[in-house]
Amino acid sequence: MTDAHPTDEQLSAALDGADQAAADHAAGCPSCRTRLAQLQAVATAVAVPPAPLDQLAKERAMAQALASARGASARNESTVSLSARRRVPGWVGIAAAVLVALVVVPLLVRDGPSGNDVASKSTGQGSVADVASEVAAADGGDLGSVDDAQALRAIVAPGLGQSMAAGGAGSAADSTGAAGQGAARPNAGRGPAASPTSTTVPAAPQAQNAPASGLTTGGRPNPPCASTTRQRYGQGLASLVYAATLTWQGTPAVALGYSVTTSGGSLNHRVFVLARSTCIVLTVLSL
Amino acid sequence: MAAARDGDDQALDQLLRRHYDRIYAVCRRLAGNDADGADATQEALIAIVKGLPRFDGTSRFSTWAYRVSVNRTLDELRRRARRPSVGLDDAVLTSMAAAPIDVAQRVDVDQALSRLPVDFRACVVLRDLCGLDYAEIAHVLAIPPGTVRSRIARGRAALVPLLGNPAPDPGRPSPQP
Repeated sequence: MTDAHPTDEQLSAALDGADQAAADHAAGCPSCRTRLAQLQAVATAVAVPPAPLDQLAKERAMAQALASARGASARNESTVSLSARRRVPGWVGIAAAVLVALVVVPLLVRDGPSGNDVASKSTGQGSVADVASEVAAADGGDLGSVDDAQALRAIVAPGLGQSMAAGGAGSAADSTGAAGQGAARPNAGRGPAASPTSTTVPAAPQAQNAPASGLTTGGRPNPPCASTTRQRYGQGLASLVYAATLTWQGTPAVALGYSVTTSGGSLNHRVFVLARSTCIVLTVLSL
Repeated sequence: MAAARDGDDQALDQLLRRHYDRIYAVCRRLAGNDADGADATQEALIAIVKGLPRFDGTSRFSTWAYRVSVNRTLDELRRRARRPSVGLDDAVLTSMAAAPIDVAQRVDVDQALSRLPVDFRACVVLRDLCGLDYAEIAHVLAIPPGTVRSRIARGRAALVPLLGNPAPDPGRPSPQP
């Protein structure tokens, strides 16, 4: 190495392992070693990742990205289904509705506990704590086809308001063993239609004019994707207070509304719309 | 990856989740604040999803994703033209590096980075935050590797006084443009 000091560019490259001569010089030169340490301090400071985005914002971004992927295909499917519908006789639709009522709905709720004994059954999908949080969900019914967040918000909000009013004094059956004793549990007051004296969870109020979704009939606590939602986004979520089926931008989906534990703000509920088959989040609302 | 490219929602979800934190980090650092960082990340994710069918696999997915993310973020920054520092010329950059700064004026990483021209900021972030080498950064930003090396050096030098370190020894040679 010559006596000439390396430039900042050379020292910076030395920091990156791209200039061995400059690194060798700095090893024996106090001035350059100091400068190298300064550049290293900058690199170290920049290397610290920023604080992560909150989970809700992350899920929104993910949902938007996935929705953009589905956009074109959903439009194509919509076109196909409209043209195909013209060729389908009317009785096929009736038969399909009967089939759904007889087969699909029982399948959806088959893992839930029997309506009269929440405490005695395991759902097979979620933890006991999960079940305790899900027992009082209102059945929002089948919301039909919904394509944008604003429309969904308008549909879901009354259901959440209804559930909040109905659940003001209630406590739900406690799947941890308090059932049968009329024990209250945390957050039970947020849930709808829960009886303070009975272990039976009565049918929850439905959204106006919406047919039952079958997700919470008779207090069935475990709609599709509830366990996944708990596992992934459980932080900050209290009770599941609302469940409904819908077709979101062409994708069969469930809407799960949770009360949230954050206080002091106007954010009271979070509604996840998840693809029914994969439980991927399609969109998230804060209400 | 192949499944995600073929439209498998679950595979796409997993792919995005795996890379989300890094994508957010680079968007956030380039944007300079939470709100713009979140917007830029969302735009970047959408661009990645839409561009995925065109990803040819000649580079690592992460490198390609960075490229999409950085370009989206820089486009957004330029479009909004919110940053008065965007377009700082060489003289300003050099004076930033040379000017002594009082302790009270020292700023955090975001503020420091926001004072760099975006092209320099991108190089420094991709190198020091994302750990890309010069060739990968050159690929991401579509500039020559020599330019990457120069911008990283000049960017770091400009950040030295801003991130709480003493001003450089005036007797030392200044970086070459």
